[in-house]
Amino acid sequence: MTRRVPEELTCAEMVRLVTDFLEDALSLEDRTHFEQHLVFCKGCAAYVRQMRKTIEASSALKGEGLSAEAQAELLRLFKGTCK
Amino acid sequence: MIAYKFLAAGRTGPFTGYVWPERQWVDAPSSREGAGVHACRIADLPFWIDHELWQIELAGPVVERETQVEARRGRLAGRVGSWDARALAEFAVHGALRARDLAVLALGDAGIRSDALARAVTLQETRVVLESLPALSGVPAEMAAYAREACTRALDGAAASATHMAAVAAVALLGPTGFAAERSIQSRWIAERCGL
Ligand SMILES: [Zn+2]
Repeated sequence: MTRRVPEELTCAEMVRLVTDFLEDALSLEDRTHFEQHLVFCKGCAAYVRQMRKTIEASSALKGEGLSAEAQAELLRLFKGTCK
Repeated sequence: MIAYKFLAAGRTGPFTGYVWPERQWVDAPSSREGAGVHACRIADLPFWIDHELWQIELAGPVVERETQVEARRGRLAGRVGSWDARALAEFAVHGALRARDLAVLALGDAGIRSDALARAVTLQETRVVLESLPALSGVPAEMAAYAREACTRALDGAAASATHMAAVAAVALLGPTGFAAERSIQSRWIAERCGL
């Protein structure tokens, strides 16, 4: 099917914009289109809920619960991915 | 100004998670454009479907936008009791059958008889007839696909999705003005069903 309503966001565009939406960084127009898409698209609504939960869970992690060895190992692995 | 507001179950803002108090004024968290209290005129309702519909009193400057209004303050004045689970399910059926009606028109324009489709009463029956149509192409194929998808979504209880599909189908058949025209039909349906 073709894209019949050009001003509406596609699911792929929703994925691209989700971080900006959650950080309240979208323009008013984009946010309105984003929210309207969430009303009619169960898949994107579930995706945004999941992203929100993931962000909440990761921001609750402060690292105090990790041993010094585990922290060092995580840092080593993280540096490895940034080469 | 008196307007309407759709909320998720428990007076919950669908995008913010904010639980609205009943009959208490709520101030917008900031004066930034877009951060105000959002609400619907009757014509806006189909864009923001959710489980609960409330009448909301707005105060302060009210900015009217294409599909919503925004105010500095709002107060839930009372719930629209006629918008309940049954109304939501009926709205889903309305969307699916409108998509079916548009498909019937498209098939007729293409010289394809579709009496059984026009006569179908239930969503299940409509979907069976759509699935038994001969191989189609072009706009009739697209319209039949929209109608089938709208039936599936309505059977799944997804009213906002089924009615959105009908509005997209209207664009396919009638051109760019079809979307607003179908949303207008839907807002009138809600207003009549709920006595707004
Ligand atoms: Zn989507």
